[in-house]
Formats: sequence, C-alpha cells, structure tokens
Amino acid sequence: MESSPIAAQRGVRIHPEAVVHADAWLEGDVEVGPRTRVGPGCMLLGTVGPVSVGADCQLLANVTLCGPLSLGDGNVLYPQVCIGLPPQDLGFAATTAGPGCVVGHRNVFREGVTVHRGKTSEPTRIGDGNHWMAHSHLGHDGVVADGCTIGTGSALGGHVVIEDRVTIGRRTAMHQFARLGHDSVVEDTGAVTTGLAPWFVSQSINAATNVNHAGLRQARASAADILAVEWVFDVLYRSGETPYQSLPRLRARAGEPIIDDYLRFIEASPRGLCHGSVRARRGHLHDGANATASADGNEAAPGRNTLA
Amino acid sequence: MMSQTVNAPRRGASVHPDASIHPTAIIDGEVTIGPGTVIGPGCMILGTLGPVRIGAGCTLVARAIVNGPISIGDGNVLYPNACLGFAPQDLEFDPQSAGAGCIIGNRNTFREGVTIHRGRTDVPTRMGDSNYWMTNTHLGHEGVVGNHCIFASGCVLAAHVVVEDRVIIGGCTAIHQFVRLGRGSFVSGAIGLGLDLPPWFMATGNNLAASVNLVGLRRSGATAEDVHDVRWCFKTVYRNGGTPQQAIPALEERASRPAVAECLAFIKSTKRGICHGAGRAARGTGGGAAARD
Repeated sequence: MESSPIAAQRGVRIHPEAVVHADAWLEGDVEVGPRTRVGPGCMLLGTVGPVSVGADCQLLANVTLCGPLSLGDGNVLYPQVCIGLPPQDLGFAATTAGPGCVVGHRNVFREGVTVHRGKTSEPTRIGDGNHWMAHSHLGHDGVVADGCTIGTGSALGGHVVIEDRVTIGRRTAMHQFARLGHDSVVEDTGAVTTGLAPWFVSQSINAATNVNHAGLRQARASAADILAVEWVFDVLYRSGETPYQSLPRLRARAGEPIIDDYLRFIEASPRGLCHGSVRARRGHLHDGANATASADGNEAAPGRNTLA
Repeated sequence: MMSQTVNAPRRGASVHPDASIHPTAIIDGEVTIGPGTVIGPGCMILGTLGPVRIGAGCTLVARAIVNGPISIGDGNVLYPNACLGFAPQDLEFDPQSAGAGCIIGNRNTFREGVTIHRGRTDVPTRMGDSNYWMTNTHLGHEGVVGNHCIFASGCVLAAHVVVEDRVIIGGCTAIHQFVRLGRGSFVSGAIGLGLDLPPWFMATGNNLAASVNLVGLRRSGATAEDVHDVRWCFKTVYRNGGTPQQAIPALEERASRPAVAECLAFIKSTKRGICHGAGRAARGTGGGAAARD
C-alpha cells in the first residue's frame, strides 16, 4: 500500500508511519497519526471541520469520517462505519460544523455503526474501550463513558447519557435524553425512554426487573454494597409505592456511598425513572384508571415520574 | 488502482453541465443527472439494469449507491452507504431482472445505511416528498410512503406496506408486510406492528393502539372539531365492547364529519385487521392481561 496522490492533497497531514490505501479519499483538514492504517474506500472529509485520527487506529475499509472529529488512539473501525455526519435534526443545516465528535481510545466500531456530531455547544462524546456492535447508532450530543457494550442494531437517540460499563442488548431503542446508570443492563429488543439507575437490569419498555448480580460479582463488590443495591431496588420497585414516593426512604440513608450514587442519578435524570416489572406497563397491562387516562389521550403523563 | 476509479466510465450518461461529479464517483449505464446536483466521492450510480434519473439540486454526500430503474426527484439528500433501488428481498426474484423500480419524490433525506428496494413486478416502490429516513432504516419492495413522514433509526418496513402522510415511526420498530399506517399515526419505538393503525391513532405496544396522536394533530393544524372527532373515533372503535369492525355502524352515523369518514374508510378497507385497544388482550405483548368485559 502507498499513499495515493489524491490523498496527499489540500491540507491532509499523514504521519510518515501511517499507511493509507491508494483508494482512500482524504480531503480538507485531515490528520492521520502514526501506525494508523486507512483501508481501501475510506473517506476522511475534513472540509466542514478538522478530522484528527490518533495513533494505531485501524480503518479497515469504506469508513467515512466527517469533521469536526477527534478520534483517539487504538480505535478499530470496520467497513461502513460513519462517524461525525450531521445530526438527524430537521432544523440543522448539514453544512454547519457544530461542536463535532470526540472519541477516546481503544473503541471498536463494527460494520455500519453511525455516530452523529453535536448540535448544541457540546460535542458528541465517546470515552474509552467501548464496543459498538454492527449497525448500532448514537445520536447527536450523546455522551457514552467507558467500557460499554452496545448490541447489534441498537439505536440511541440524541442527548442520551450512558455511564461506565453499561451493556445494551440487540435492537434496543433509547429515547432522546434517556439515561443509563453505570453497570446497568438493557436486555434485547427493549426500550428505555426514562432513566435506568446504576446496577439495575431492564426488560421490555422501561421495566426494571432485577439487579445486575453478574456485574456486581465481576466488579468484586463487597457483600455490604450488594445488599445496599438490592435494598435500593426493593425500596424503589417492591415497596408498593412509586419510585418517587419512596425517595424519602433513600434520602434517610444519604451519606452511604452507594445510596448517594443512586440519589445523584435520580436527581440528575431529566426523564424520570424506569418502573418496576410488577407495575402495569403503560398500554400493556392496565387497570381501569390507566384505561381512562389513555382514552383521554394523556399518553405521555410526564408528571407521573417527575421529582416535583 | 486509482486510474480505474478516477474518470470512471460514463457510457450513456447524460449529466447536466451544472451538476458536480466527484472524480472518484462511478456513473455507469443509462443515467440522467439534473442541474445543481452534487455527486460526492465514491458514489455509484448504476444504470445498467434500468435507467436512473436524478433530478435537480440533489446531494449525494459520499459513497451512496443508486441502482436503476429508479427516478429520484429534486432536492433529495443521500448519505454514505444509503442504497436505493436494489433487488427485492424475495427468494423468487431474479436480481438480474429490472422489475418495476422505484419512484422517489422531492426533498427526502436518506441517512447512513438506508436501504430502499425496488418493486418486484409491475408496481414500483414509491414515496412522496419531504420524508426523513434516519440511519439504517429500510423500506421493502412495493412499499408506498406518502409525504412528511419520519422514520427513526433502525426501523424496518417490510414489503407492500402503505404509509400515509405525516406518519412517525420510532426507533427499532418493525412493520409487517402489507400493513397500512393511516395518516398522522404514530408508532412508538422498539415494537412490532402486524395490524393496520387507523389515522391519527398511536401504537404504544405490539399491535396495540392505546392513544391518539394529539401532538401530531396539533402540528398539522387540525381544528378543535377534528381533534374531538378523532378522539370520538378512538373511543368508539375501542370502547364499544366488541371488535373495531363492530364500531362501523356507529361511525357511519357520523360519517358526515371528515375525520370520522377518514377513519371509517380506513377501517372498512383494512385487509389485515385493526390494532387492538388497550382494553383487550394484545396478542404478542406477553402481558397476560385478560380481556375486559
């Protein structure tokens, strides 16, 4: 492989130790770091904003990168991955640069993953060591921390916040502004439109069903910590009250690190919390009151889960 | 390698002088490209199987693939890896045969990885204007889509679906073959629909119409009477103690109202049946809710 004459034009800076395939297209303000391999058919478009690819990355083939974008070291991008294209927002002009994307180190993006650049003042951010399986998607202004796994075909809407070591199953949808606490698990074909607190497992649409015992074991959590997590789950979801009615019981134990962690998450979650599996899911199991509410068109009922 | 891709063959292509074609784009066969259209790097316009017609002011950002027979209107935007016009996902179909192709209207957006398959026999896959196809969405062969629809990331529409105007479908949702979605209806994310959804109704679970799309009604500029009529239809269809079909006589009594007439015509013409209401056990939701009444 050798650098093509087209690739070496107009503001493109390729480190002498980088390898760029002759069929790759690099244009505009593009920087490629040492030992990075850019495979055939890759397009690095630095015309809207600068594209910076760090060291030791592998862009296998047909990868599209669009600036403003900063990609760290040791990332692996499989064919058809697109990072940094404009937000899926009807009001956003595609020629606007915006704050772009910032991607950390050692992430794996499998075939067809799409990550869109930011719309507001903050870039779309991905930390380190995440694994994005085939055709998964992260919308504009999303923030994903470190060590997460996102299953095949999952779609994460704009502005989502995903904390460390989260596992998301296959074909799972996340609503805009939804949040996942660290070490939580969303099972296959589920959806989260609210917030799933740390260490919890959710199924189906917004139903928190259990505690992530496997994750606690892997993290070598102490018996006291495991008991505290289980206690929080019981208080929120098995006390017969709504999660927000049971908040005072959590606050009574404020000061313990695990409890403070939950209070921090609950108070920061803009869309409320998942409900428990025993509670009627909206539109699925129902009682008379729910049926009346939906007949009146109060489908979103946003007040039900708010802190107020 | 480079000499093969730059200045690619343009046999039979008719490119307007105001169009801009990137040197690494490949244009082959019977292709017509209108004024102001921008074909970005790595795009492939393949008119060997059937003619490709791309209108004015379109943008193919990079590596989009268009396969004929297809007609694309004005002002459409195609992002990388969008593939328009490839063969139907039908085991019987010979991918070497052209079939009926696709007809795409104006100002549609196709994000990364969108796939639109061409028609199988004599009916093309069709869509109107100003639809937004988010990443990795799919429309099967002979699908018909109206105007101003939004398809969120990862939702898949099987063959022969009919989507009327102003429909919104949530992320990762699947729509079965031959399903119809009425005007202004809303389908939430991560569910599946195998039954028809009447105009302005909202599906919140598998085959479950649990609400009315009041936000969509308001955005469409509906009058208070229309909103009232849609809500009356919803209650009549799902709270009549029987099936949606049994609500037809009650709907006919008020068929002079336009919103009621639209709902009535939709329910009368359904082939796959209408989504269930929240009061009835919904097949496939796993909820185990017993039927009321």
